[in-house]
Amino acid sequence: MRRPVSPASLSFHHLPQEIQDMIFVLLSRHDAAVCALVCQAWFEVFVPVLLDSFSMSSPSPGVSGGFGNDVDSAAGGEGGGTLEVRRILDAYQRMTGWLLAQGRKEEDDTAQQGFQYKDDNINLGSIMSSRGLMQAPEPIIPVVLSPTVEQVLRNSD
Amino acid sequence: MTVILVSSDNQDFKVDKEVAERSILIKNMLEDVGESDSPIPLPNVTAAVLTKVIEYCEHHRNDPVQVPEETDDPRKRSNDIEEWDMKFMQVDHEIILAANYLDIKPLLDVGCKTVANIIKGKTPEEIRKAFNIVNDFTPEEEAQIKKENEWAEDR
Repeated sequence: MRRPVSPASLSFHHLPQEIQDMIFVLLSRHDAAVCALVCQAWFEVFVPVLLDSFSMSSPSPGVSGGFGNDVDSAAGGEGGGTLEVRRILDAYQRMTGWLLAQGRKEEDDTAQQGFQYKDDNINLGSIMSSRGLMQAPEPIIPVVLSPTVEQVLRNSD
Repeated sequence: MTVILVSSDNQDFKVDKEVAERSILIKNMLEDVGESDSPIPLPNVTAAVLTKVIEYCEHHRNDPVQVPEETDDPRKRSNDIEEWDMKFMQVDHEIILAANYLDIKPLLDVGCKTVANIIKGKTPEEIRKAFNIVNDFTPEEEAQIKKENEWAEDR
């Protein structure tokens, strides 16, 4: 179970999908990314919006710009659009995985406060198994692309 | 001619027919019922929200009926809100829901545009303040999401 979501005076969950969509078309991708950081409820609403914004646009190499100097090896040689798609899909997977892990951690181990950082990297395996963590907060575990991700990537080419 | 609207919490509102008919829902109901003095129940709208909606409809009573706009550019604008509407609009989801239920398209549009305008160009903290939202991420979660969001912050 997730933590209870804080009451908000603007609750997207109370708005029907068609009204949410009316608001989303007015926002840029950047605005949506900022919104995902507001609270957990907004995070859940806006991450799919971000994903849609990538799968619906037809990325072509170089169009997006701004990411040209940030070529990671996994996406080397691919167009800028594909790189962007891969980045956000990776990010989405890790964010959701990590948040799920957070929820799980709280259930399993409510007494544990805070989170242990890089000092613990060596013992991460044992920490993870003892806490039931699925994924580390840092991308220590290589991200495995699921079939869905591969499919979206293929479609985006 | 006036009509009586009854809110979900059983308050009566006496309103000019012309004003009430800014709501397409009410307009259709009145047409279906014909000449009648019977009050119109609005079980989905509280008195507080209905007061706001009526205020909006009174101000816009003489507006031409909105025709579906041609959407020449795919990304819609939100910077064309009238000054009065901007001051009027205390956005919460209740008034947007009421506009949707009562079928008052211009009010629904203004509501959505106002929400978008409040969000645009702000930081997460500024958005929380604007909508009175509590940050329920842990500092660790926030740091992690920020990191993952870098691709979007780049631009």
